[in-house]
Amino acid sequence: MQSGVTITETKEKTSTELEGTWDVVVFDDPVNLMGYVTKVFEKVFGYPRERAEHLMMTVHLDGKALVWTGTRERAELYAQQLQSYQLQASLEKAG
Amino acid sequence: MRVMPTLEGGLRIDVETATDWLVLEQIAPDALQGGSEKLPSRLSALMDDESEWDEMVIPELKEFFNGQLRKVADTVQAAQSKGDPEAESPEGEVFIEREDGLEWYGALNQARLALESRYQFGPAQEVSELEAFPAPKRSAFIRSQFYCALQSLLLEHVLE
Repeated sequence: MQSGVTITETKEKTSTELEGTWDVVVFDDPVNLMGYVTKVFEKVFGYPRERAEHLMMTVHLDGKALVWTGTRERAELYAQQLQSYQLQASLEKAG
Repeated sequence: MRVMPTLEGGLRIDVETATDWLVLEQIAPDALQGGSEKLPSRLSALMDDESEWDEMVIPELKEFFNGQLRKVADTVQAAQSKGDPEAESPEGEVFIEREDGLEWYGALNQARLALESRYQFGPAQEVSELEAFPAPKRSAFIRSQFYCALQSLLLEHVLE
């Protein structure tokens, strides 16, 4: 019984931690072409060219860029899509 | 080797020498020798434990990336087998169909990531340094440059 209580508490805690808004962050890498990264941002997020280019340049110059903020579930979906395009992406709890 | 866009929205690679075939054949091995099976883990290295990425996503990414390499290897092999085996000339054509553009781009990217990881050319490598490279690194650098040029053409003419 004790272990059952612990599991429930852990799940509740985990669920609470995942609530709120999350940032999707993309990191720079040594090979991806700038035009490709722009195209991926347009395709995955539906961003207009200008915004996609701005985010791409932020990745290029700063080493990373916050590309989207929203629910955890949606953020995970975007991170998965970005990684399938071979961009390094992660999630961070929005500050 | 010459590469040009097709009317159908793809690319045609005119293979003129045996070396051209070798370079095209080398795309998948370059990616695999560089540990492309580790690429999904590298791309998601910063994901937190809550996401269960290792169980849920990485296996799918591995299969997806392997599929890109299989597509390229199969296309090159099929193009080679179309040639006359009795003919002395190695000339041939490799077609990258419009719908296969992303798979080719991804396979070339895997190869470039692997070569970069192995040889660390750096982002602003100057061609003047090429002569100072040991032979394997020089050869890898030239292939990496070719893969990058092919990616640029895919980006310009094929990828939507």
